[in-house]
Amino acid sequence: MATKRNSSEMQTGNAEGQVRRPKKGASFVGGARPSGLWAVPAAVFFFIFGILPLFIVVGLSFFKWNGLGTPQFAGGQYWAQFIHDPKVMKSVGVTLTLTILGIVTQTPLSLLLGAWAAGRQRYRAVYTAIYFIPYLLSGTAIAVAWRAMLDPNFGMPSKMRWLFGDGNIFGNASSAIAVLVFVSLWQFTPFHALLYQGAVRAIPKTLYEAASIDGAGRIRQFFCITIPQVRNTLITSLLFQVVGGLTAFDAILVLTKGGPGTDTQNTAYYMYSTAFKAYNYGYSSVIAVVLIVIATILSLVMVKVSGYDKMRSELEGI
Amino acid sequence: MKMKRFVAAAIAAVSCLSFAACGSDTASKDENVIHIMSSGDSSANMERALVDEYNKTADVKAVLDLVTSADYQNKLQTVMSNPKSDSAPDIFFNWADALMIQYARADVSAPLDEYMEKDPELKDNFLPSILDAAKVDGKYYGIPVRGVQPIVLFYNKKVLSDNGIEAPTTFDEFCDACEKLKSAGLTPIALGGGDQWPTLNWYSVIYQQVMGNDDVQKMMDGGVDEWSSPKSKKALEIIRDMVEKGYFGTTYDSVKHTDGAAPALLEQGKAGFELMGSFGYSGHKAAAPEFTNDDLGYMVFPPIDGVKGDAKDLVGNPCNYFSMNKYTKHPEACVEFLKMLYSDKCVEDQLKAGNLPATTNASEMVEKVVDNASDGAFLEWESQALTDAPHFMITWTPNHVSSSSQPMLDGMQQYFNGSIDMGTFIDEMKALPTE
Repeated sequence: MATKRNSSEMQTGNAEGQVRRPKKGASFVGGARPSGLWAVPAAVFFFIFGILPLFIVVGLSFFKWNGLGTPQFAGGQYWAQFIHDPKVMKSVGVTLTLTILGIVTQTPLSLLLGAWAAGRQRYRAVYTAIYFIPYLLSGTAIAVAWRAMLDPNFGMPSKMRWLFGDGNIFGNASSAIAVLVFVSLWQFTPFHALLYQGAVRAIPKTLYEAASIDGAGRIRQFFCITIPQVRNTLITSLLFQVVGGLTAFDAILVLTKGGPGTDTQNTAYYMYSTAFKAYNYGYSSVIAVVLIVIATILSLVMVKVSGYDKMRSELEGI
Repeated sequence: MKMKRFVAAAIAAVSCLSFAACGSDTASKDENVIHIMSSGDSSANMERALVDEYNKTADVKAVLDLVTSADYQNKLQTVMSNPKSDSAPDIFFNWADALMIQYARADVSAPLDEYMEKDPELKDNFLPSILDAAKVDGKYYGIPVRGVQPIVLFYNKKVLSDNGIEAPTTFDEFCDACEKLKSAGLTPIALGGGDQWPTLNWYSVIYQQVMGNDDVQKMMDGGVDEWSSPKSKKALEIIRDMVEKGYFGTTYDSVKHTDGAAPALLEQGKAGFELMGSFGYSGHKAAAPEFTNDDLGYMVFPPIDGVKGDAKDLVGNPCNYFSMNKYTKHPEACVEFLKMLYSDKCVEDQLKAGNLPATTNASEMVEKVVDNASDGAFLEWESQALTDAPHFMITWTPNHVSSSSQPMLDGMQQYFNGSIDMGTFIDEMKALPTE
């Protein structure tokens, strides 16, 4: 295998060399594309760590296994359990609630911020840089920090009774969900704003100039030019949010541990606790498979419905 | 061209290396050592000292593999899924009840009875009540390591005396104290309900008194009817009554013990009591040494009037254990290592670190080795409480399976904070997983 790879690389190299001697450090510019063999390491890694586990998880969902000894075949036992498990429906509800609230809060805010930050004034660059900081922090660190800041006796709630009441934020389902939504808003809005900033900067100025001449104000321009022009970015951002919402985990683990009770336990967290706290890998695999299927279907539907797969240019009317 | 060939070779080399890395443990593994795998938290210094001491004389040397405490159980589960592999440890850190049973029944940990017969000291030098918690199907699968952790009622002496309260000797006096603290504008009892297991402390202590050990044990052994017995209902009423009277304040579910917020309430005089494993002492000592020396009080939970259980009984984590891999190549060396756990040196190290080891010689040694008066007093008190206790009950794991813990904790939190009623709670507990 190794010799084969070497000889084929050599051949490609020689062939290219005969045609045109490339300048140092620019070997591919305008030249032949690298051989498919170059993708082998990445493909092998993806297969071993991405595809293979997927099949193992599907297989494991038919076995009883606590991580020790040999897995015992359990047939469809865990699938039957899944259908009758009220915690599954509740966790799906929590997942949808968190995802939808995430989209509803993050999209408008990040679109506005992105459009604002697309201006080229220097102060905007400074503000944007500062605003981007939350996205550079680790998700766990963010959750730990907010957990401390929201402590009822030593955090903000003890000083701001008018806003937080008695401060039992993590003890009620609604306020615990509100915290999760708020923290992910704080954490992820910069990322989506960055996407929109890039998209808005790519809109040709001529469109705005023409609109101004026709008498459109800034608000009209925003709705009639900016939003339609960033449509593809909007879909990308929504896709990120849907997939991220379905697999949201770290913030829940640190902030609420799915509590109070199971009120903020989303499907991903339920999967985790089934596998790594209850050591029921079979049932956990069932949840994982269903999660993968749902996420795939949702992504496909969104891509189809939005026409994102056709990748039409956004530069209409130019 | 040379450059390109070099890059191709480099990529090939890197990918080979990354695959080889998976097996590098085996390559470096020395046949003539025993591996001790333990949880790498602050108490692990004890194991470090132990390994150093052991290696001074042993032929088969010991290697200590520490894993971060949060990842330890999962990592252990993974390596022990193939106990014969070279990466599996020879001795591993273990817990009583569900995990002890799990590893014993999966046939990966070795029964230690034959070694105890050969050398009775391995058995006789440990407190029977603690050693027995390592019994599975009549055989011993673990040797006690680190300190015992009974649940203790901690209190702030200054807060109590400032409010004209004496340390309560009965449950009624305890409730009176809570009422007084409440009217003084304090949270009577600090509770880290956000972690859930501190809430379980309250169930286990009150159930132990109201129901008695035998009935609670039946409940843990899978006796579902015990959950709906009149005594169980009485215990549940007492718990809910305390919550409704506001003894825990209103924000307990937003407070955690693990991040130091609940202990801080006690340390800063914002709360009067906290019910916590005895490890709470070293936590206070690290966070607020002055408070711990001057104002930290502790007692066994006071007796409830007219109930079945013995108020001297204790409940909590008995301690941790070292278990032996059934497939170890050096069982004799492992046993020699385990014998170190009751050596004077090891007991002394643990006492100095504030842990009370489950050895019979620990209580006599407290006075000799502990310099700090406050630490010594606590350890002596704890040791006395253990001696006085007719029974030491292990922290609850219904049906002795790990899968029941989380649903139990969820149900307990919900009944405690009033989001489900007693009937629903009992139904949920009866339906806890059994495998």
